[in-house]
Amino acid sequence: MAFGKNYLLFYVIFRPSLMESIKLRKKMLTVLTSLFFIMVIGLAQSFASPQEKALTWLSNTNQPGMFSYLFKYLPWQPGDYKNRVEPVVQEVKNFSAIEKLNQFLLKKIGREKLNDLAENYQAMAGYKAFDLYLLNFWIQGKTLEALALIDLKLKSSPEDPRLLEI
Amino acid sequence: MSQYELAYEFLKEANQHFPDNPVILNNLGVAAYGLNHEAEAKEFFLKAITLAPLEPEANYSLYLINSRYASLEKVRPYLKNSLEGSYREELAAKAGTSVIPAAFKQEVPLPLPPLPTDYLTYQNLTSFYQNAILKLEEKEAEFKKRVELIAFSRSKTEEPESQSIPTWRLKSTEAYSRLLELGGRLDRLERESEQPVDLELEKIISQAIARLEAIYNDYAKKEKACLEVPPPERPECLKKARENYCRLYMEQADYYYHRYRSSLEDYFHQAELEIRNFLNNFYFWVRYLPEQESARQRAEAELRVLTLYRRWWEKALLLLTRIEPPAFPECLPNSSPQSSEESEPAITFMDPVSEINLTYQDENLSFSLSPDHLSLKVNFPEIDFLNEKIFLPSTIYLLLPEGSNSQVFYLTFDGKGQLNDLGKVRFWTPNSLNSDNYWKIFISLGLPPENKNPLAF
Repeated sequence: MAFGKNYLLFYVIFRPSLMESIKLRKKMLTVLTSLFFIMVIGLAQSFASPQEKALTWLSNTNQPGMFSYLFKYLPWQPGDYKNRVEPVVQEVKNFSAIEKLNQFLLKKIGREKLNDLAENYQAMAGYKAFDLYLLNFWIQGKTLEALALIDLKLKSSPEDPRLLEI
Repeated sequence: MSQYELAYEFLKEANQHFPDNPVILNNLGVAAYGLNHEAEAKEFFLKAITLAPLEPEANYSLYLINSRYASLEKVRPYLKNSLEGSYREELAAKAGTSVIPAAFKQEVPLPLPPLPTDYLTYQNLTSFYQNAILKLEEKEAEFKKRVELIAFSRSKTEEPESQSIPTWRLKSTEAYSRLLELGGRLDRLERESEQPVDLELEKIISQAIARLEAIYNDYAKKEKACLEVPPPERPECLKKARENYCRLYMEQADYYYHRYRSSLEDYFHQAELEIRNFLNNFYFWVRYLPEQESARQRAEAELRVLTLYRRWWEKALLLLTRIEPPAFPECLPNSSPQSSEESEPAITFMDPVSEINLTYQDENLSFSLSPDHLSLKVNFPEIDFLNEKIFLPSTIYLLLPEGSNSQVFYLTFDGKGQLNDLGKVRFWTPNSLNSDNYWKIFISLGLPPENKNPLAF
């Protein structure tokens, strides 16, 4: 097996950071708030439709404390993102990692399939057992599918991609 | 920027925040290796094993990298540590010897029959030994029934396994031969190993019987002589003869008991090690058999071990049953009450992974982890991008939700996507990673074993 085909190396490498980020974000709230803001708007610019879903999900979810606390620091509230996209378009370049991941997936599987995935799997991103869904893909050898799920999660949970900002 | 460069940068970032996470360090090593930064990769792998000495992937990577420059003897410890972290068949073949993961090395509770320091106390334990043996025989009868029940249910319910939930069973082609080898070890314990000790014990018992008989004969002669002395002197003469008999009896009984005890302790020490070793290895390998076969072999082996254990107790009692008690009750001072501190016979068959029974279910997912398999089914519409399936050797750490920090499980897959091992992680406990209510996984990547040239990535 050619190791070069290991698309999921991205995931493997990202994943621990993402999981651990939840702890850290409590300590770095100020930094996170700004990053969160920049990332969400940046993502919204590229993925208007999924982002809308993500933010709708965010506003509807009963996630404890953290999200609502973060929102207090934002100059806008979820659901109101369309009005806030313009001012931060220039920030997109800072998030090339997310972009590159998305570009990679687009190139490999196409926008149509990615959209299908988003449509069917959107809810999964907030599940308690999200990692078990990933495990399911990993052990079936469906690494690209798992990576697409990660991509969806990154779009849907703006607090997680914090560590992707380099 | 290549995907390895990207991955490397992300991991560096993660590593800055969480420098003590061996999985991040291992994956950094893999990324660095993919970028042909071999020296740096080695540093990451070494850091990872400093934090988690038995991390299987980091150890194996070090073995692979170093084996190109160093002798086999020098790199073998990495291989051994990797296998002690988790079992992977292709690695085990390289190791040459049987190494089982640390998760399966446990101290089986196996209280040995008490062997007090003096004959008198030993003699007072007679009823304790007898009760212990009775209890063990009862337990043995229960185990025999269990064996019969399993054999019966096996013939009644040979049905194909349900295919409704995708299941990954533990796989190893080594299992049958390893279990055969272990069965041979148990045979030896039952037969060959026992013969020498039995012969030695029998010799001591025969000598003790003969010596105590001689002492009694001497006494009988003296008693006869006493009956010939003038009547007023007879009581005193007889008293002295009896006292002398008692003293000699106790001296000799004590002497032979010490010899007996010494032989028995040597035997117990050796047999106990063998049994512990047997059980650890047996419980590891038996998981790889099909479910029914595994249950049968488990029940049979446990019965055999229990029978062996009962024989230990019988051996402890044997001397007491064979030698004649003293001719006069007064030879034995008032019996002290039997100590309640003596260890009761109790053998607990503790399969180190038998308590693994994780389940989770929501409307879209069904997950379960048992000692010998993983089942996972997702009810969402199937996603299949129709790409080639990719399997990489990896160890997946599974962290349970709701703050169960100590509960970390590992699943080891080989490069063909087969489940090679699963168990509880004993070599690493994440400090602060699962304080919320989510299931979490860490995937620790291995280097492809056949790939010796990093450029071939």
